[in-house]
Amino acid sequence: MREPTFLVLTALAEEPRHGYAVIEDVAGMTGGRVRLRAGTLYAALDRLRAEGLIEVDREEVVQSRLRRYYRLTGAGEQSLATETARLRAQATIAERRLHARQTRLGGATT
Amino acid sequence: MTSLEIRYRRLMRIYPAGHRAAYEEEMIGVLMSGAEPGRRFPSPADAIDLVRAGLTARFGQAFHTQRGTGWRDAAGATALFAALLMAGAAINRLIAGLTLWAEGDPLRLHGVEGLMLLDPALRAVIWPLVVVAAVLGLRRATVALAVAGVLVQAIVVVLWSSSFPSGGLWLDWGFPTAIMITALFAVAVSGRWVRPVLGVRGIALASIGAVLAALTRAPALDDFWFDERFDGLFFQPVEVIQDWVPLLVLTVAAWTAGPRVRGRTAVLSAAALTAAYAFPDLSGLLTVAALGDLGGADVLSRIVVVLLAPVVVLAGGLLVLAVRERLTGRWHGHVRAHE
Repeated sequence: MREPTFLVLTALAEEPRHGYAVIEDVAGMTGGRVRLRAGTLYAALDRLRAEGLIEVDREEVVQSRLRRYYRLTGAGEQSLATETARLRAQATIAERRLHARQTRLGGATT
Repeated sequence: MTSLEIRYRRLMRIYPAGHRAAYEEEMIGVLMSGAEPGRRFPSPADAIDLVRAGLTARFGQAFHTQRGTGWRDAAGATALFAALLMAGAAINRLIAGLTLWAEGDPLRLHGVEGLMLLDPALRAVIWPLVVVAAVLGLRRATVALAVAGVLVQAIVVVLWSSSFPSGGLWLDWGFPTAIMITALFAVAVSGRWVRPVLGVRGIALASIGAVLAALTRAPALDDFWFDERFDGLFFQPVEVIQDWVPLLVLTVAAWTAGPRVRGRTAVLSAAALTAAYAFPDLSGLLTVAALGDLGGADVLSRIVVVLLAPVVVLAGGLLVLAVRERLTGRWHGHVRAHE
């Protein structure tokens, strides 16, 4: 799963959100490191809808603009959980190795 | 409409009509919400992103990530269904063999008593292992075990072929099915795996289908899937339960995968079943050919038909899917355009 996809699913895991709210949430989650553009976001949303990972929650018209809210489906929740577990496992390995490396290098310099 | 919005709408023309009908108003709203006040031209970053995404949507459907097309998901689901049936059929045969053994049948093969049980025993070990690995999400282990399954099926072919006194080849549906399962799992490795695709409910339903296949009579797949007794017997309740309920349960399981994956799973399953059904005919045809009596064009043409049958079914399924998705896209586009 690519990072934008993971971040979009994470944004929708909290509550149904419309496109701009997803962009804002992703920017907030990543401390501004990732700011999704509309083209990238809707490519991801279209694909996730086709895969059944998200679905339309509701639609609103605000200031003559269409806002479509998306929500996570059960399959989306499972997919996000699987990817989260995978990332956590990788992060744990990286953390352990970094710790071992620091210990080793620390020992060499003393 | 501001000049910025007009320019964004011009940029959006790069997208195909169906995509625009579905998302243009929404995307324009997002683009305008993110634009600084007073801006008259799209930001270069937004413009580049729209052009890239629009071109991908228009021309890049094939590489719009293969994951996104649903084929890898469908490959995994189809492989799991087939592996479940292989496990069910193997356990069924083992139960039948052990029953005969208990009744005093020596099950002698090559002069060795009980050797006939080697076939179902090996299969009843390997295919459940494949299923368990797949359900646990052990992708590479699943593929490795499926390869072992191919070897087991090859052993089965050798075991029975060598029992023919006059020589010849004995092929059953298991050998080509094992190859297909391995290929499908290998394709599915880089996609979503079976659990996210089918969900717990889908896997549970598929497992029930396999258990039914294991416990009912189901003597072999050629009788099991394609009942040749299209007479009064076929419609007797017991026959229907034994032969068709597992298939129905698997169909319901496939239904849980969502419309796109469901259609692809149906096409792949149809092609795989055709291959499994047609392939055993090759044993007779190849035996005739091996004995040097090709029988002229007749045997060769039948071999070609057997080999081409799954390809034809696959091509037909792809065509139906393409037409259906085109019609669905138009329908959605039509509806969205009025939103």
